Amino acid sequence: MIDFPALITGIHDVLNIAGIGWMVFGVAFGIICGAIPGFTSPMALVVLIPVSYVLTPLRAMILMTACYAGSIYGGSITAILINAPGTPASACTTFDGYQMTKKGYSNEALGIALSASVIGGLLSYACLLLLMKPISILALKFGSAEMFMLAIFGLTIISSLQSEELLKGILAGLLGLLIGTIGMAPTGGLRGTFYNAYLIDGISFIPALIGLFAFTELMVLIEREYVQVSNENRKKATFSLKKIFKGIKETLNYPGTILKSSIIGIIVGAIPAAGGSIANFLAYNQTKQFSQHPETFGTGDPEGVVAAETANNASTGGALITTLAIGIPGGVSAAVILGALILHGLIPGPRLFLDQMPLIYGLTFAIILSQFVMLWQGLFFSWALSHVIEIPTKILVPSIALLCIVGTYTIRNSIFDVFIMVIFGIIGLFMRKYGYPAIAIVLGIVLGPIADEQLIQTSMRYGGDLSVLFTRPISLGLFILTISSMLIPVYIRRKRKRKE
Amino acid sequence: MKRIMLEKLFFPILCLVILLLYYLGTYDTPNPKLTMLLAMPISYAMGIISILVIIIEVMNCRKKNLVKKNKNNYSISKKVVLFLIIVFLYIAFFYVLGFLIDSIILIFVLMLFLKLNLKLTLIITLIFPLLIFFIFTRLLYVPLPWGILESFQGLFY
Repeated sequence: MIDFPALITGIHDVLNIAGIGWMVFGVAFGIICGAIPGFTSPMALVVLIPVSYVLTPLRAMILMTACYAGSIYGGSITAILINAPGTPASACTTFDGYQMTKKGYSNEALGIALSASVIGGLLSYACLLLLMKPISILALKFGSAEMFMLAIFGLTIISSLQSEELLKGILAGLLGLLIGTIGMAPTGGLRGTFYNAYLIDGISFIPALIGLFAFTELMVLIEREYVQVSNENRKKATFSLKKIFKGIKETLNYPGTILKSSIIGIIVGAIPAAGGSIANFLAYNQTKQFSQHPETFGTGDPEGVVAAETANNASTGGALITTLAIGIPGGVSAAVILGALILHGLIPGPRLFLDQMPLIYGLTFAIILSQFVMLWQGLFFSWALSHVIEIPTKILVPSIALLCIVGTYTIRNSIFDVFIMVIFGIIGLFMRKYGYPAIAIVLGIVLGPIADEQLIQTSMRYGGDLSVLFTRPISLGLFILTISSMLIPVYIRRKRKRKE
Repeated sequence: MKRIMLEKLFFPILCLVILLLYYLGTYDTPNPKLTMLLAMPISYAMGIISILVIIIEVMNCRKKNLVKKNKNNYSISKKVVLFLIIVFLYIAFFYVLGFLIDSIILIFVLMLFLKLNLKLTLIITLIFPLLIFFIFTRLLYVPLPWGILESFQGLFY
């Protein structure tokens, strides 16, 4: 299962000053960004994309994945201290974490969050190491028909996004798909371009991503004076290292919860576009349901923090499995990492495992190592980040705006992309206000070109006969999976409504 | 009420407009049936769902009788509009002024507009864009346009 010579080469490539240095920087940057509410992990990763240009592919990936893990953890710090989850993935951490802070156990809660994150991350990366190759070998059996079905399956997650109305989610997804097909088709035909040179290459999903998430957030922040509105919350954090260590020890009292939440996190993370935000809700719910004292959850039960934090960090490993092995991102952050991989000329998918084995092993080793880096950096940032929240938006908004612009410009050295980014920002504002899930558009733009290309290839290969989509076994299986994963969330929601 | 209604209908109408533009921008395509194999069904679905969403929203608005006037309810306030105008001007003058000058003006105007005190504004305006410019062009080798400063480019190499 593991190719040892490649593993040793990979480890050798990581263990040098530059490799470790970028890792340390990535984790630190991720924690800082993750801890700023509104500055989510995809945004942190997007800001790092131009930095990654100049690095070797392995170092670029080390930087990105270290930042990814750091940002998911970083979100928990503000979730615990001021009830403001830095990233959506830490939403459940607030349930018990903030209650612990209210009771005066903020340091213990920070310690628990840190150790639970590290353990969850380690378990998921171990899975990544073991499962990546088998999954990629399975992926080799995928022809164009199967890849098309897989892309469509990836889209079905829209139905479980819990947007206000399913129709709105589907409409956003379709718009994303249509935007994804703009540009040159595999047949050589141009679609929706008006023969404009900028559009022939299509609309890249990174301007869409920065626009819909970061730029939209700026337009929301501009109305406020501080990221966190109330003065009281900002004053609540005082720091004690001793208590944090006590929290770290306490995590180890819940081995069952850790294992269960990790498994949930890994599986949910691996499902395209589900990601950490769904993982922590699921794990928290499961732990609460099977607990012997469900009534203590939500009142400051350390087990709740353990469940939520283990799951969201475990989801990072899961997301990377599908991103690297099949090339379908398991979330927005993974989509950005996918973008960075492609920028470095590496095509994710089975070929990566044939051509770049040392890189894959080096990367896996690096992210496992980065968890230990995160452990000591987490201690430092728990102390330091209680101050970042005090920066007024007057300074934050212009600074982040400029970073968004540079981040978008550098993708293709084109101001047209910046223009597209701002347009997406405006669209995002309306979408957020009226219950359209922005992630659905991004998902569409990522999966649209894949689905388009594979469908056209299938049609060419089988002489226009598309019945092959339903006659090949894997393809048919995926089709059934697609239909069921679309209907099950709707069914569950109806059942829940009836109960209420 | 009209404005809220318009804002609610913004997204489905936008979808229809993009759909229209998509087809207006597609011409002289070789083998159109194959090229539009996926785009065609997506367009039909998008058209139908957009119209459905518009109908549902209009019906909802009538039911709820949205007469409540709440200024905060508008998603685009004057502040946001001004912010966007500043950013669009930045984009328009990007190549003319060059990244450095354009960004300095952007940060300065935005911070003044957000009413940050002048001293702090000047400090950040001078340091931040320069820092980004230096990091990107010198450390990361990402070329950024020099614009009107082009003749000074040689001084930095």
